[in-house]
Formats: sequence, structure tokens, C-alpha cells
Amino acid sequence: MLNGINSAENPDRMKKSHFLCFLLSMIYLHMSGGGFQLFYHGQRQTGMGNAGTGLALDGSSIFFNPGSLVFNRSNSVQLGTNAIFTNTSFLENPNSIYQANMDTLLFTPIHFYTVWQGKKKVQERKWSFGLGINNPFLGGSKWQDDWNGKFISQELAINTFFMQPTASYKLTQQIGLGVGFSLGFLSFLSRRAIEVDGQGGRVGSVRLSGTGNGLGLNAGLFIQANERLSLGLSYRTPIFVNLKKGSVRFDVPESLRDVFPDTQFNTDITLPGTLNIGIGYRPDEKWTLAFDINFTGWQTYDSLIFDFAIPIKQLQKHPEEKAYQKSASFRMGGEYEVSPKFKFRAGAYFDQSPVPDGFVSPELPDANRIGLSAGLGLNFAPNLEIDLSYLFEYTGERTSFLSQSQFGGTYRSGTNVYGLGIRYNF
Amino acid sequence: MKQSYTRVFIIPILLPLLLLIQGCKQNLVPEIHPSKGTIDLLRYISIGDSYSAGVSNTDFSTPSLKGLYEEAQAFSFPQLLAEQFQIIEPIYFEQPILEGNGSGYLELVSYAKPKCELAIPTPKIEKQIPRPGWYYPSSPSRSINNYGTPNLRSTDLFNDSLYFQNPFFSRLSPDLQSSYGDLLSALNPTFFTFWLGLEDVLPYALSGGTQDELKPVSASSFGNEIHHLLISLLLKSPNTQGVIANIPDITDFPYFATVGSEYISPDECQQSSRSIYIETSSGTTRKASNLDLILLPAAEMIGKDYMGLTPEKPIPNHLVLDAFEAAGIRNTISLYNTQLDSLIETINQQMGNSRFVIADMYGLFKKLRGGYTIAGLEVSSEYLTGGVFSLDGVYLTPRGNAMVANEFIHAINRNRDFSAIIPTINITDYPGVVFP
Repeated sequence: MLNGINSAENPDRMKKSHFLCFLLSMIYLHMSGGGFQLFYHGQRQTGMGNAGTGLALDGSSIFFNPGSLVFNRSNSVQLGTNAIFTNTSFLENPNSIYQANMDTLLFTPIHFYTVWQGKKKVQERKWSFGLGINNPFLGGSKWQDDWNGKFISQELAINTFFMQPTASYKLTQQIGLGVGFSLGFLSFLSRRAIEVDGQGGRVGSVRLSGTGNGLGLNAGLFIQANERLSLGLSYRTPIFVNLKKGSVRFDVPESLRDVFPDTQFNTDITLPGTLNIGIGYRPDEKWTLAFDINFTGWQTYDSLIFDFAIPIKQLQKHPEEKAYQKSASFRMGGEYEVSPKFKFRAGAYFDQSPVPDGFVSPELPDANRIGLSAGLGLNFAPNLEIDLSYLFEYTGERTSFLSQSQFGGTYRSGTNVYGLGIRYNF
Repeated sequence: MKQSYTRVFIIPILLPLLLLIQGCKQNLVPEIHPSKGTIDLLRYISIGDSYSAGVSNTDFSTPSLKGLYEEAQAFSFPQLLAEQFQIIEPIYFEQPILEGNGSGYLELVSYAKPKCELAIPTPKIEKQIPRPGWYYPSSPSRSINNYGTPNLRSTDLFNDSLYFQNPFFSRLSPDLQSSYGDLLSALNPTFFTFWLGLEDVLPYALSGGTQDELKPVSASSFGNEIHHLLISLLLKSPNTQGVIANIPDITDFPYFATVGSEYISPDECQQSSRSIYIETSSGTTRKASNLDLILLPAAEMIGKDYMGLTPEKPIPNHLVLDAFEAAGIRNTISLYNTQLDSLIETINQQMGNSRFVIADMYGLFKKLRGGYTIAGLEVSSEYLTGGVFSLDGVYLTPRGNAMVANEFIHAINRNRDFSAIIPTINITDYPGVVFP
């Protein structure tokens, strides 16, 4: 009955839905994460609002909390992916009626974890080892080439691949410690129009692309306080990535080839560190609850300065200042074991934007986000589990003016995330 | 067992909730509601000179190559304004189009990058010849709205023989006797834009101050002519409203501001900057100071055979506005603008409301001299790269026209008595100088 809210013929329903939308947006706006950090690193967690630092669920401990790895029940191999669809709309202001929609973006981060801890039971085990591969930072935008903000951004894509060999040690029966070395790989692509006009209304553009590597640590502490309560604390260090000799390519009219030669750029990006605090609680055999708080040190992304091998005037004007700030996210979720073969999960979160007013850019429009999720766990065979998740993330309307570029408006985004994971225990 | 399955009903409760949030994807609602307020846009008429007509890429060395042609007229600021008005109301707006090459224009055919960034770029420009018979009358049966007439000066407004003097006007005029002013007031415009005065000051400046017969008329006769026109409009159509643009400082235009007072050889770069010698209005020869303006056509001469680099070969007077002449032109423009201000104020006081408002083009072009950013796009009055001025360095590109149109829109929106909200134009949609 609530599904008819899109029907324009029913004004009453429209009003109700407006009111609900208004309520929802008021909730987001009054809470004060985000950025291009990604939280989809395990289907069970995604089903529970991406909470799980305080639990020892499976191989995803490698990412969420290496300290809990040694509390995993068995050796395992798992593979998962999420399909993230993001829609963003934009309304220019002031004194404009211009609207634009970003192309629907599809991101497909993957995660792979394998855990090896011998054949000993949990109680007798001291060590556990694992390897994780995932995409902890991922983001981007793609607007129509001729849109109004084309001189700021037409396209941006930041992707990362992290490989993390991890060891976890059980200090006592209650306390586990773990540490992993993160080997990070980052790729960057940005494209925007430049002030050069060609025949037939063609505007020139410049495309920057490059890659870089970085190293970091992921350390965690896990405490199984009693049968019901567990606590987790993990810290992932900031990772400094130096992009060297990235390529600069111009699309300009033929007569200007000499003016805009192919060249190279260097830049640095420091991926932020995160501090994660989690609580796990099992009120009974069937229920598992998780509460997480993540603090992300986004202040490391204060600027993005490109150093070009050949200085070209049109390249210098890109807004360099990013001014990201520390942000936090709050997550909660639960899993209910309906039967040994069937688990149901649900969760919700609030993720605070690291982007201050005056710096919201169409490159990576950002606002506080709220997410709701649901998931299913299916045990077809004793050692095989398939996990499904669905998550919807809503970004409240945000109006901001990017002063460096004299461009502003209202942005709003919605994201659908569909996840599939498979795990084999041995 | 059966009972625990009932908990799965949480799914049908949750899913609609998710769909509900998705339902919030209705269009974002604009903050402004475009409205024409008290102005009646039904018969919008544009009154003015070359700038209103949409002139672009003029060749000043060939008097007939005025740069009025179909492609440029499509971006005249009155046309762009009318398109914004049409967002609010489906008004009729017709221009006297000169098809194809029209009266002829300049086109950029190639561009050689100067070796030094500081040297003046040397574009290769070709003439596009006029379309034969371009000056025949525009189809007289259709009523037109853009009466922007190239070369129109304030003294032409009530000149009875303009028909025989200005082919751009004779195209528009239904008979041989009507003056521009009579023709306009007979149209009964409900709303108009008015931008006149640039062609009063430009020809003299373009001649390097050498042709006295082109000297701008006194500010008081400029004011009288315009007062005469506005009053005759009001007599015929007492409810008409309008925006009157003031006159930019033309010495900021690239035609006058591109060549500096020092020569930088395109081959030797900074180290070799040398003084340029000019012939002044009094006939003497001296080094140019930064108050002297060397005109754009001199750019390709300087340095060739030591032209301009020795006292024996100064830049000739007709390619120079010396400090004295430049100050005279600026003074005339400021007096004209004062006239416009007081004229409008007087009429508005007599009418009891702000019937006419001033659009501050002087301010717009002063800002462009320094350059600024709109939606990540840098705009300035720089030659070729600033995006505002066409190849001639005097008339505008489509982007320049869009900025002028926005200045008119700001003036309309700011006036409380109009209480109109016209959406502004997206500047980034309009090209600057087009490169091959």
C-alpha cells in the first residue's frame, strides 16, 4: 500500500510521502564516514548495517578487526561482491532553474578472505593467519559532458585494491590481538572541460589518470567478555600514496595541439586512517546484535595538488583545496537465526559527511547519509554458506556553494547496494 | 518452529520502508519560481547599435565587413534574453537575419603558439566574404523585434536621412522618411532593452583619435537624443518599461588593451623586452608609457624591420591612443553614463515608479578586465583566450553576449517595481572564440 507513492494522480499520497521524506531528511540534517570510503567488506556485516568490529563472524575479521580472527570457528575461504548503483540529482542555484542528473554509477567492489588456523579447536588455538583482498576506498562521479559544471568535473574515479596478510594471536581465552600489513594500490582518473572552444560547439577537455602504491597497518583488539558480550577495537592507519608520472591528455581543437601537449603529473593522496569501536551482544542462541562507531581521519584529504611536468595555464585553476574533516559513523545491526539453514539480518547506520560547507564539489558530492539494510544467510550444506544483502543509502539534500569555482547548488543522492557472498569452511 | 518463521514478516515491513525512501527521488524543487512580475513581455523590442544586433568578428580594415551574419545573430544578447523570457511566457521574437555569411566576417583559420607566454599570440585570420545582396530588406511582412542596428549612434536616432546612410537600417525601415526613433515608437513596445553609445565613442577610438569628424558628440547632446527617444516611446506607449544599459570603458577592450607599452620578441622572451616608440596626437615621437594604448592591428607590425623599436620608426598615430586621447575617451564615457543615470532618474520620478532601470555594463566589463570565475570557467577581457571578445577585440562572442544578457537579467530582477524573476543564462553553454 505504501508502494504507490510515485503515482502523481494521488495528491494525498504525494503529500504523505513528502511529509515522510521531509521527516527523514530532517533527521539527517540535524545529526552532525562519508567521502570515498567504502564499508562493504562482508555480506553478513552489510546485512547488519556494516557493523561487525565487535564480532568474530568469519574471514572478514581480517578487515573489520584482525584481533577477532583468532576467534573464527574454522578455516575458511570466502568471496563476495557488491553491486553499488548511485543516482545523484543536482539543482543549480541561486537564481537558476538548471537541473542535472549524474549518470547512474555502478561500482562493483569485491572482497576475498582466506583464514588458516590449523585443525585445533578455538579454545586450544593460539594463532590464526589470513589474507584479505578488498577495495576500502572507492568513489567517483560521471556527469554529462556538456553539463553546467563541466569546467569543474565531467568524470572522477578513485579506486583502491588492498592486499592484507594478517596474523592474529590469542593472548588469553578472552583476548585476541591481530595485525595485518596493508599493501594498497590506488588508481585515479579525472576529466573536465577546459576553456577552449572548437567547431560545432565542442569544448576541450583534459583527462588525468595515474596510479600509486602505499603501505599501512590494520591492528585490532578483541575481547570476549563473557558468553554474551564481546568488544572490539581496530585501527587502520592512514596510507600515503604517491602518484607518479600520471598521464595528462588533452582533447582540443587541431590548431591547438602544440599549445596543449601531452604531459605528466605527480600528486599525493593520503587515504585516511579509521578507528573502529564495536560491541557484539548475543541475548540468546538465536540473536546476534552489533553496534559500531567508526571515526575516519579525513583531515588527511585537505588538498589535492597536482604538479605538472609542463605548466599549462588552463591546468592551474583546478580547485585544490578539499578541506575534508574528521567524521564519524554509527552503525547497528542484528542477525536472527530462523533455523540452522536460514539467517535473517537487518541494520541501519548514519554516516557523517567529512566535506564542510563551501567545499561540496560535483566531483564527489557528499552529505550525511543514512542507510538501511537487510540480508539473508543460507546454509545449503554444512560447510557452505551463501549470503545475500541489500542496502539502501539515502543522502539528504545538501545545498552548498563551491566558492573556489563559483558554482553551487543542491545535491541529492540515493544508492542501492546488492551483495552476494559465498563462504566455504574447512 | 512455525512461530519463529513469523518473525520473517519483518521483511514485508522493511521492504516498503526502503521503497518509501526511494520514493523521495522526486525532482528537486527550484528555489526560484520564474515570473514576469509586473512587466509585460509580449512585445519585447531591442533598441541599440551593433552590440544589440549581434555583430561579431568584424573586420575594421574593410568597412563593409561588419560581422553581422546568421551564426552571430543567433547569439545576439536580445535573442538570448528572449529565450529566457520564453521560459516564463511563449513570446514572439524575430530577428532580421542576414543569411549565411551576411555582411561578411572574420574567421580564425590557424593559430601559432607564441614561444614565450608573454608574447602576443598571432592567429591567422581569414575574411569570409559578404553574401551578395545581403543589404536587401528583410522580409517586410514579418514584424521583427530586434532593431539593433550596426553603427547606430545617438545622433542617428532622429536623423531623417538614415535610410540612405545606413544599409542595416534601410533593411528594417518600411519607408524612406521614417527616422529610427519614429519607427521604434510606432511599434508600441511593452518592454524594451536599450544599449546605445558604444558606436558614439568607438569609431573615433578605432581611428587612433586621428579623425576629428568621428569625435563623440557632447554628453548633453547625447543625453538629449536619448531623452527624446525615451519620451517619444512613452508618449505612444505610456505603460512601456525597459532596461537601459550604460557604456563600458572601451579602453579595457582587447583592441586597446592587448599590446603593452613594451615589446617582447616572440623568439627571445622576457629578457629582451624593449620600449616601443609611438607617434603622439601632437605629432611628436616618444617612448610609450603604460598609459598609452597601442591598437591591436599594430601587434603584427611591431618588431618587423625594427618597426616601433627606434625613434625613427614609431608606431603611427592612427594606431595609437596616447595617454591624453585615452583619458578623453574615458571621460566622455563617464559623462555619457552620468547623463544616462540622471535621465533615467528624472523620468522615473516623473512617472512615479521605476519604469526604466540601468543595467551596469560599465561594471561588468570593468570586472572582466581583471577576470573572474563562473562555474569553474574563467572569463576575462583577454584577447582570444578570455572567451568574451571575438576576433576583432571589440565585439562579443556568444559567451560575451550571454554575460551581457545576464547583466540585463540582474537589472530586471533587482528592480522591486518589476518584481520579476528571470532565470539567468548558463554561461558555460556558450562558446568563446572558436578554434579550428
